[in-house]
Amino acid sequence: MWNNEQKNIWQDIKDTWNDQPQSEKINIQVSRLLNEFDSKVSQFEKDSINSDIATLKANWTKTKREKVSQFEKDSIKRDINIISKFLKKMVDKFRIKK
Amino acid sequence: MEKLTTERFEQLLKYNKGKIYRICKIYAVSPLEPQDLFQEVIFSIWKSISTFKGNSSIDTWIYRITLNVCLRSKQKLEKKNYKTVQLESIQFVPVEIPLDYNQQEKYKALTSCISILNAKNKSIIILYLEELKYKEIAEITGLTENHVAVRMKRIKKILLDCITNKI
Repeated sequence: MWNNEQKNIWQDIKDTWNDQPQSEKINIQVSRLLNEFDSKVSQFEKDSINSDIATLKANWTKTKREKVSQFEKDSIKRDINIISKFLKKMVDKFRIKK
Repeated sequence: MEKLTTERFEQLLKYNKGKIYRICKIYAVSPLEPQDLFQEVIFSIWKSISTFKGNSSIDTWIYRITLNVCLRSKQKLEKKNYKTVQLESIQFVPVEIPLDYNQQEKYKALTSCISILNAKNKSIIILYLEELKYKEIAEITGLTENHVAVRMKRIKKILLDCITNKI
């Protein structure tokens, strides 16, 4: 249980939050703001997407590319060769049948 | 789904701008200013209003957007080319107010003590100080009501200790 002093301090905390000094007044011209949103949204979205892509690219280069081992690269190369040969054979067979 | 008219948006901003700015002041970390965060929040509200389905109150939804934008701002700042949205139709006019030194010191102590809390607890205490009920805090933070209550007990103790040391 809280004692009276703690209760008072807590009340003081709440008052401090609610009566915090307002050093600025916020003026918003809403109809102008809505126009501004409409004009800004495309460029802003583009900037955000470009910035995200730049981050992803940088992270990919740093983390993923360096983590692919030579063994994996060789395996992928081998697999691609096998698939290419297989496809070539298939295409040749179809040609002969014609 | 909310259909946004100029009048509705104006009403929404008029009623919520104060609380949005209060939260932005807590989360703004240099070089981001509370004004930058505020503009980001307003922009996000406008972009997402069509997704508001009315499952919660619009106030709860606005708190959720505000906290999400504020929490994400830290990660976004780490990106190289991050630019905040600059809206000319939102102006911050300095107000000449008589300085209450005591009140300012208390506010500084409070914000400094809130800043030592982790991200989740920080969100919870802000919503609590905004006088939201545990149920609403749970909705916004994705915790259960019980979990919020348990956390609140701990947070109150941390804040009380911290503030008692500072004042």
